[in-house]
Amino acid sequence: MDPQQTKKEATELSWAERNVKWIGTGLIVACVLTVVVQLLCGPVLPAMFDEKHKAHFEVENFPGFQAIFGFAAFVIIVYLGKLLRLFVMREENYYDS
Amino acid sequence: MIPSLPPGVLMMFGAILLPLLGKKFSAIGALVLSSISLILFWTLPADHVIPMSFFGQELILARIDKLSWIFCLVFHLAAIMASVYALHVKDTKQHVAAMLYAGSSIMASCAGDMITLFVCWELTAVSSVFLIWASNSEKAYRSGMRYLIIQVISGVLLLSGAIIRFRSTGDLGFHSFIDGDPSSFFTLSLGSKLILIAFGIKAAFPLLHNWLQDAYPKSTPTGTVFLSAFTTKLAIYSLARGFAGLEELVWIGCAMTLFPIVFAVIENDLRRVLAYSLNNQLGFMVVGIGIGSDLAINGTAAHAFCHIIYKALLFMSMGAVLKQVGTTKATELGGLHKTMPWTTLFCIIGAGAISGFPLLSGFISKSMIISAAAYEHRFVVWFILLIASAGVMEHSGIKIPFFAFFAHDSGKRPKEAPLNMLIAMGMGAFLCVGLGVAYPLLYKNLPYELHHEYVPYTLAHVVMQLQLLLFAGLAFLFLMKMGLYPEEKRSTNLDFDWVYRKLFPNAISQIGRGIRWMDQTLRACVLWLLTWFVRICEKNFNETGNLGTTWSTSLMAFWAAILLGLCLMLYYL
Repeated sequence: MDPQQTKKEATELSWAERNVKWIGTGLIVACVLTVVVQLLCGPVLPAMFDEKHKAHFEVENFPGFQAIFGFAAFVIIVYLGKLLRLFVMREENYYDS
Repeated sequence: MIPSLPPGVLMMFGAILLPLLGKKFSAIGALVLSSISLILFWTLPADHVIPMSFFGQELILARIDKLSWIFCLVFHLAAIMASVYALHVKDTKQHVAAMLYAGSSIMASCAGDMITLFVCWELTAVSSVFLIWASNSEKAYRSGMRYLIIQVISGVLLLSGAIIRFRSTGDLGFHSFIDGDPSSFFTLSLGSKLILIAFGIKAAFPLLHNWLQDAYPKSTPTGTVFLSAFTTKLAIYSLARGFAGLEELVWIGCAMTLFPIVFAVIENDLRRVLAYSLNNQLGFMVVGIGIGSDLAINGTAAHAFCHIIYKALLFMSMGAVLKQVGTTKATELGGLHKTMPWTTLFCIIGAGAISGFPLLSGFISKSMIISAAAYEHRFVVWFILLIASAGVMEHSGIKIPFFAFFAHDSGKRPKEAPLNMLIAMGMGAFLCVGLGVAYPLLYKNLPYELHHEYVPYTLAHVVMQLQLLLFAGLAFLFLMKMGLYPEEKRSTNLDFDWVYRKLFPNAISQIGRGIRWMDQTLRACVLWLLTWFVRICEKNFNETGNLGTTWSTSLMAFWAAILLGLCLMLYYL
C-alpha cells in the first residue's frame, strides 16, 4: 500500500471525530428536553403522564429526580472505582509471578 | 419418533458425529444441528412431558411448560446466533464442545427431575471447559481447571442435595424446593440448602462468582459467546423454578447488581468488564426471583431472554475486536470505528439495549423487575436497582463502546470483522430492536398471565428512564472534560479469586513451613536431650567417672562396717 495513503488514512478524521462538539451539545440538549417534557407534561397533560404509571414512592414525584439520580450515581460509582483501585490494583502479571 | 425427543438431545448426539464432517464442514454442521433442534422444539405441543423409566425410577426427561419454554427458545436462538458467529472457525473440537454444551443446557432447562438435571448440569460443565481450553494458552488452561473444579463442585452439591431430599421425602421432582413458611434460607431443609448453593455457584452469587470473570475472558472469541448464554441463565431458570419468592435472594441479587459495577469501572480488559456486567445483570434476575410475584418472575424470564441476546451481541463485538486486533485491553484500543464501522454500530445497539434505552430490549425487560420491586413497595430494593441501572450505563453503555471504538486513537486500523461475524451481530442487533419494539410478542409468552397488563411505554416511564440514562451520560461527558474520569491502566485487579489463587496457596505453604519448623525444632530438642544424657552417662561411667573408677578394698570395708553399724542401731531402736 502507498505509504502516503496509509498516512492519510491514519490522520483523516472520521465523522464522529469532526462532530464531537455537536454530539456533546446534542446530549446536553436531549438532557434538557427530558426535564422540560417532564415539567411541562406533568401539569399540562397529567392524564397522559400518570396513566398506567403511578408513582410508588414520594421521591418519584420530585421533578428531575431521575436526572439528578443518574448524574450523582454515575459520579459516585466512578469515584468508588477510583477508591477501590487503592485496595485491589496490582501489576498486570501479578498472578504469574 | 424424532419429534418426541427431549429438546437438546439432537444437538448432543449430533455433536458427537460432527468430527465426521471434517474441519471444513463441522461449523455448518453445528449451525444445521441447532436450526433443526429449534424447528423440532417449535413443533412440540405445549405442556409436553416426556417420561422415562430408569431402574424402576420414573424420570421426566422433558417437561415443557411456560417457564421452560421461554428459556429453551432463547437458548436455541443463542445457539444459532453463536453458530453463525463461529462459522469461520476450523477447529472441530470447539464446535463439538459448543453443541454438546448448548444441547445439554437446553435439555437441562427442560428437565423434570433432579437426576436428569444433574446429568445435564455436569455435562454443561465438562463440555464448556473445552471452549476455554481452546485458547491454547497456559493461562486459559489454568483458568479452565479452576472453572471445571468449581462447576463440578456445584454438580456434586446438586446431587447431594437431591439425594438428601429423596431420602427424606422420596421425591426426585424438579419443582419448588421451598419447604418452610415463611420462605427463608433458614427454614429450608438441608437438601434444599445444598441445591440452592449449587444453583448459586452457577448463578455467580457474591463470593461464589469469580469463576465467571476468571474464565470467560480467557476463552476464544467465539467460545465466550456460547459461554455467556448458557451456564448462568440455566442457573437463573433453576432458581426461578426452585426458589421463587425466597427472601434472601432479593438481597443476594441486590449485592450482585452493585459490587460488579465498581469493579467494571476499573477493569482494563473489556471482555472482563462484560463478565462483570453479566454478573450485574444476573443480579437483576435474582432480585426478581426473590420478589417472586407473577410480575417479578415474568420480568426475570423476559430479562433473561433479552439479556442472553444483548450480552451475546456485546461479547460478539468484543470477540470481533479480539480476532481483528488481538487484544481487548482498553489501554491498547481506541479509534476502531474508523475501520470497523459495522461492529461499532452493533456494539452500540447492544450497549443501548443493556442500558435500557427505550425501543431496545433492555428497556422492556429490566423495567418489569424494577416495577415489580416498586409494586411490592420495596423502596430500598427499588433504589438499589436504580443505582445499578446507572452503573450498567457506565460500564456497558459507555465504557465498552467508547474505549474500544472511540476514545484516543490507538492508530490501529484493523479490517472489519468477517461476514459471518457481522451477520451474527446483525441478528443480535435485530433481535435487540425487535424485542424493544414488538415487545408484546415476548410478553404473551411469559410464564404467568398478569391481572393487569404491564405497559412499558408510558410517557412517564420513557421520560424518566431517558433522564436517568442521559444524565448518566452527561456525567461521563463532564468527568471526561474535567479530566476526572480514571484513565485505563494495565493492571490486575484483585477479586475474591485472590483467596483461592493466592491466599490459600500462600497459607498452605506457610502452614507447611510452620510444620517443618516445628518438626526441626522438636528433633533438635530431643537430640540435645539425648546428647546431654549420653554425656552425663559418659562422664559418670568412664574410668575416671564417679561410678566407673575402681574403689579400694579398705574403703569398701569401711562403708560396710558403717552400714552394718547403722543396721544394728536400727534393730535396737
